[in-house]
Amino acid sequence: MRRILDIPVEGILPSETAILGQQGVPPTASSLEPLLAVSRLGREDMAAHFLGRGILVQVSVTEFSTQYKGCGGNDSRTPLGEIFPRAEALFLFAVTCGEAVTVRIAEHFADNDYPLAAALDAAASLAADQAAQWVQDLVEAELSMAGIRYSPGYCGWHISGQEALFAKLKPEAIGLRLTDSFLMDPLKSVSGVIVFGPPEIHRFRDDYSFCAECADHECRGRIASLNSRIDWET
Amino acid sequence: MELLEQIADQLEKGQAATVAQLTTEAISAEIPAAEILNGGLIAGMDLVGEKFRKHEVFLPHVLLAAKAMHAGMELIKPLLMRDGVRRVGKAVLGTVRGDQHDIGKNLVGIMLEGAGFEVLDLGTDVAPERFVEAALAGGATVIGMSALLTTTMPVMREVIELINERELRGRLRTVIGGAPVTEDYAREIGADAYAFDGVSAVDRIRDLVAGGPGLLGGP
Ligand code: B12
Repeated sequence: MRRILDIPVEGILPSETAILGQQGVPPTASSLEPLLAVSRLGREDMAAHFLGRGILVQVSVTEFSTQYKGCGGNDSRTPLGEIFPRAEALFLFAVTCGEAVTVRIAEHFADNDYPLAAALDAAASLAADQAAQWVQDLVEAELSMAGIRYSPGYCGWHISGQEALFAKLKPEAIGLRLTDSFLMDPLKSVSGVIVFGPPEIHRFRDDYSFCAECADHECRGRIASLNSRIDWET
Repeated sequence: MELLEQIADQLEKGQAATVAQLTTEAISAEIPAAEILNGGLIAGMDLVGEKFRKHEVFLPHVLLAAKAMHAGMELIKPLLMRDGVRRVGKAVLGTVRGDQHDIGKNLVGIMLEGAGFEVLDLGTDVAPERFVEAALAGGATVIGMSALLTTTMPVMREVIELINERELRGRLRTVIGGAPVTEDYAREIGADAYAFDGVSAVDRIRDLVAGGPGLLGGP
């Protein structure tokens, strides 16, 4: 079943400090007041122009193994490649903040309001990610299971993998398309797969060849948060 | 404090309205536009750029300063034209064919303007020929290219090959950037420079315009 979801802006809107953080400002920085003021404007603009939509399809392990292979550009060893065959449930997804936000960012640049343009851009980047989290939360609540999501372009999964995802998701229905260079249009969009299964399948050591180039090793936090998000004892 | 110093100081603090007001005062006091530009506006951007390098201020501070610079610039632009003041240099900027990401490219453009460069922004999804044609037509000596995807990065190589084919190497110098781009990649494809953010892009492009050797040695 293919589900089309309207993503409410509440719960998606990033905080002013998060918007600054996304622009590289540490919370301890001095003279934050003028920056917080701009972030506030960016946040309000985001609230006014966010048109969040998502699309979600459950696939079998067999089906996903074909989709994952994509056009063959993946690294030979990847966490997702080792995890998904053991998954209990797999969901392809794509989410977008909509076109209006991107148009708005360009307008602020054209008006030479660079601080506001950058604040809105940062807010929209965070919101796109948060929208993916919203979809994941929804499925987690329905399944009473915690999952981890992966996206083409990260962790050895080639960005061209999006082609197979889009063929299945058909996200044109939410105004989202993939270009020949595997760019999603509108820009503030995220695609991927949410993997569900017992906690042990999700654990891996981040020592794959591509991990050396990774700046944040976000996977560690995501694996660690699995336990706190779901009570595995039940 | 001297008027131009005040402009620089207020600009560094991101006070657009005050910068505009002080610039108007400077114009009334018949300070030449070129001096207002160099001693006030660009000086202020250099101050904030220096603090950014030392991590004393961050990107949004720099953008507030750039907005203030723009407010002053609007006032002196007609005077700069009238006086025939030559800008530091001229650069063509764009996101390569197939790519729509433009925030990073825009930030580089803002920083270059803040340093006194003239910028011809070609926007996104720019074909190799357009980079070269626009630079030749507009009299630019630097081509800056941005790409945010590994799938669009190879277009940068096409632009450089085109420059070589048309024997424009040395006359048109290239600088590249964007999230997946590295200095090694710049070397590999024969770009003259690489920069990881807007402030260092200004440094690299200043070097190139001054005839610096760039990554591969020799203009
Ligand atoms: C925020 C972000 C997002 C946001 C917003 C995207 C956007 N930019 O609008 C969201 C969450 C929506 C997103 C989605 C995706 N993303 Co993303 N994203 C990022 C991230 C973390 C930061 C990008 C950013 O906005 N930076 C801030 C701006 C200001 O910086 P910048 O553009 O890099 O520009 C600076 C410098 O690069 C430099 N520069 C830039 N241009 C130029 C030009 C010249 C001439 C010079 C000298 C310098 C220069 O100066 C600029 C100013 O400081 C990067 C990783 C990273 N740390 O960079 C990944 C990254 C760009 N994303 C990536 C991927 C894979 C994706 C997705 C495909 C994932 C998915 N499957 O959903 C999607 C694609 C979206 C789409 N529309 O197609 C990859 C791309 C690499 C690749 N494999 O091709 C990256 C590199 C992460 C990674 N894997 O390492 N992403």
